[in-house]
Amino acid sequence: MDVISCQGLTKTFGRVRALNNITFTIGQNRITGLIGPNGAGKTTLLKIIAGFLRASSGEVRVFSEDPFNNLKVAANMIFIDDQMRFPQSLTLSEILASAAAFYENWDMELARGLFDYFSLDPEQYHHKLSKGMKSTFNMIIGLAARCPLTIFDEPTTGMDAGVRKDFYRALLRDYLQNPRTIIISSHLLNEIEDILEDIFLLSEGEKRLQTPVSDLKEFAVALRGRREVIDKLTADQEIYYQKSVGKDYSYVVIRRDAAEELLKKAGRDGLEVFPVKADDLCVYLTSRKRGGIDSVFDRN
Amino acid sequence: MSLTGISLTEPSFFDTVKKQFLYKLKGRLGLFLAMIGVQIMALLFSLSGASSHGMGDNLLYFSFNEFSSDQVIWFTFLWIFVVAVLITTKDYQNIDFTFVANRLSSHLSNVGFLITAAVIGGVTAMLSGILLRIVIYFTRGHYLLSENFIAAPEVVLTGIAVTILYLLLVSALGYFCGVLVQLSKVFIVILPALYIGTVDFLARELPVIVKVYNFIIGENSLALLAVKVLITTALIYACSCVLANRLEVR
Amino acid sequence: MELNAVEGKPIYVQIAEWLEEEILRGHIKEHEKIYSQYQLAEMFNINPATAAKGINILADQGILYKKRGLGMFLSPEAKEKIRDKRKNHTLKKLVEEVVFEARLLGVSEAELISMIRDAGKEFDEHEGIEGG
Repeated sequence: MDVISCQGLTKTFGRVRALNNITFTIGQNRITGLIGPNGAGKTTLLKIIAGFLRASSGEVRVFSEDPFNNLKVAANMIFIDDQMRFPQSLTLSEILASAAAFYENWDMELARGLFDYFSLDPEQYHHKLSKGMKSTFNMIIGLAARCPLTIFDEPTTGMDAGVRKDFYRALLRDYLQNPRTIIISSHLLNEIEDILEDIFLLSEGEKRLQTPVSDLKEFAVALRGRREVIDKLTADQEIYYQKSVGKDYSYVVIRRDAAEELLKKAGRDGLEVFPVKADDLCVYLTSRKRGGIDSVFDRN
Repeated sequence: MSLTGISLTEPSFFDTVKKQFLYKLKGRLGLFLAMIGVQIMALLFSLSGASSHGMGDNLLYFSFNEFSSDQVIWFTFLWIFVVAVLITTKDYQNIDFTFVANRLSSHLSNVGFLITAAVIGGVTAMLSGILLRIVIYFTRGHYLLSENFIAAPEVVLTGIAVTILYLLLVSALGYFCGVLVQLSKVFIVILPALYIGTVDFLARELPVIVKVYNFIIGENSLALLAVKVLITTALIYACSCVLANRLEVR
Repeated sequence: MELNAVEGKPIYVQIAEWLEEEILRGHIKEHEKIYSQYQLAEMFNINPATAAKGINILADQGILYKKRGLGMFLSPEAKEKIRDKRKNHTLKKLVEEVVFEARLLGVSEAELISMIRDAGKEFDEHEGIEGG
């Protein structure tokens, strides 16, 4: 069963088109990373899936139903971001008790365990927590609720590196024991790519790419060599990224299969082949300027 | 390790409303503390801002001091209106949708909360009237007290009932105004202007409005008043729910 | 266990190679059940689908076989299969790179061979591999 399915989804806010004609499905029990630059529309997309926002046009189905104003979707879904709000007069442990009442699969033992591990004070108030502690607490709620659809929107804001690592590890371990459909939107792809199964790349409101992470990483390679050689070789290739290295050398990113063809025909000719990191590749695939920031500085 | 993962829950609507209602009661205790504070403040005003006059000659001097617990009631009306508007704002909404909710369950649990607030507010407002009498008796002397001083139980109970009914009406209006503002910020300007200008204007120009007002408010039978107020309140809430059902949240 | 995420090799290939190493070292016996995708996921801190991909590479090469509902087991000819494959592929490639480097530096064949011998002695002293 597809947990989420969108057909031609478009969302406009006044005159701004935040999402444009998006079509995709997300299958059951997979971890998908929603990646894209700021303003790409990630939060908007996630909030429409969660039923908080309405689509302007197109169709959205979650658990085969329209998620907007839908109690069944709301009861089986949890949305974790830094905008989660709790009553000011409740302590953290009271909030956990309240959450337990709302979510059938709530695991209080897990919640308490994580609570103690991260040294949270049960008598503390949510609005008094630092940003990082808030994110940690919100994350605990997200994990302990064990909702069939769990959405994390930039869940690690304010968390330091150690806490983030623990979060990813906790997420993976709980997912292994209790599989569910998870979507994480994060700008720290390099940190989470190992635990992802699929990547959904969004840029300027449009879906660029949706593939397994392992396919993405094999999608392109980088070639480095003398500029004339590179230029000649890649003359009629689609180039995702290019920059000058020193005076005579050039670094270029193209499709792996194309590169293999070229190398077979032309031989190595002093060219070096490098892998491309997934997060770099995502940036190249979504950026407008082919040379990246270096193009501002390399003006010869 | 199961192949299909976690199974889906099918939530019952009324179960959700109940859960949200209890969550709100627990989480909004602060608002009730504010109510106590407001009523105490009103009591203090009542004690000092009473009207007094005196008359007499050389031998005898009468001094009349008039106290009224109306202040407390008016302040409680104000309090519940503000609370009703407050709970329609974004931050309060977000609390609902952080957990499990749909818009209708959010509204119904809010209505339940406001009904509870009206009942508590009505009881405490009337009781503070009694408190006022006690304070006056002990601090201002018990020389000659008017016949209204001893409040008969039926009077108190009727007073409580009427106050609760009016609080229900006021809170429904407050909620409706809050919803309008959520629909469009324009209403922040329109509504106060409307209130100030129109009530007065319409009352003069359109006797129909006055008739409706009197029909609802000016009623001698408690039961009939109750019916009218409850129906009006329910209608206002229904409008609020319908208007706010398509709002986006979080 | 650390995985090299930045290096050229995809994670699932690294998983497959690690399993091959375990098999060659004799840590997994014939017809024994190998690690499941979930166990590997937990051990290496990766998504189980990635681990499954690594397992499937070996299954496709006949090194592992599947028992319905029970998991993946080690084929009897696995060790030889792995040896052949890695000798003719992995080792061959490494040798080619060594030769390339040696030629680039102008290192003679005799010198290269003696370097290999020295490295071999070092290795046997400090590590050694059983089940060879």
